[in-house]
Amino acid sequence: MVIPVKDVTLRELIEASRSASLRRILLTDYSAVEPKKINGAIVLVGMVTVVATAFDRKNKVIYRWSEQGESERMVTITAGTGRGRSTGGRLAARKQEIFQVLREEGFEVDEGEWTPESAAAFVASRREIVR
Amino acid sequence: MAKSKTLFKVYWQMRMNSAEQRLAAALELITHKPTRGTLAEDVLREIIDAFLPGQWASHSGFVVDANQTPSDQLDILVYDQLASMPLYRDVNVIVLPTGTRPVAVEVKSVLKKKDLFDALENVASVKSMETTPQDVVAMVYAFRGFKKPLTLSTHLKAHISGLKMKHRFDPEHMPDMICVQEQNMVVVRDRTPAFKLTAYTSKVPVVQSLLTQVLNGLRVANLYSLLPKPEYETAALFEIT
Repeated sequence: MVIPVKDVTLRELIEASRSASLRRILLTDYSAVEPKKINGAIVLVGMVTVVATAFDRKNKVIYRWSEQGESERMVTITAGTGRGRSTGGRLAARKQEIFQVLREEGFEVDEGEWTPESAAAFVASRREIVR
Repeated sequence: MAKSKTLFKVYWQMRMNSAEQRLAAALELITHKPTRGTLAEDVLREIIDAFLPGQWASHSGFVVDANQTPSDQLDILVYDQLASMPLYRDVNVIVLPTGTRPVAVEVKSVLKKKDLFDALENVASVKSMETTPQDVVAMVYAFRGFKKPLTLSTHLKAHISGLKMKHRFDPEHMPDMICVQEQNMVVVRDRTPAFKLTAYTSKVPVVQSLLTQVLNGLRVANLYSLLPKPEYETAALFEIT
């Protein structure tokens, strides 16, 4: 049986995971370069895709959220979280920001991505372990 | 603040220029057949190493899956040495388990039909070992070869149709980029909306495209704003769909 992948928004991923009592979300990022037309010229641009997935074992569906953008724009200068004032900050990659958001929402976040193949393999091995 | 950002970009560009000069010098030496393969690999590895933050290391080597099946040997494997533990490492060779998300480069001093096919097989062997082939960013870098772009196009098409006939073709297992330094030619793979290989003439030395790919592939947020944006001639040399 092929486990379907449902593309969702980040809000929907959080809500679907919560309503199905899922505690674990897998998060990863992929990189690529893409030639893009900018001001009439073809320019090679670094791209990053961030992917968050949750596997609903009971309903046999994978919820998948992804966001793609130019690497340069997929970072934010974040203020420090320590005590005192800071005029500086640090660069946070979009993946780290999503990680923080999901953790704040109470999820366990691990590196990786649920795919139909990995989810099916997990179900099969779980069946062997938890009889 | 804006001024300091510009200053660092100038420094970065100057480092890029010195990498280009180093490769141009190597190209002059590389006519000596017996040593050119090793020289090509060493020079390119040194150039990549010079741009890597200390967290990353590069070696020639293999990837091994959970069944202990090794991939073909890759000329350069760049990996995160803080997050990944190699199964084996010596001066010349490294063995990485799957899941370490390396960046792989196949280096050819002179790219001929057989070398191209070998390089494509090596790239496919390492990408096919991962659950998600995008986990490995893989490139082919040639110093010389294929004076006519059409020749490269013909060989790529032949390789793809050969794989299709054997029902072994997976677009995800193709290299993310092929560079031919002397011809200033870069072939880039598109994944979306559909598989496509497009060849361009680069307006700047092709090593900039390689470094953009490698550094972006390592996903270091601090480097994103420094990545060069190599410019290509607008008319593509060829397209393969």
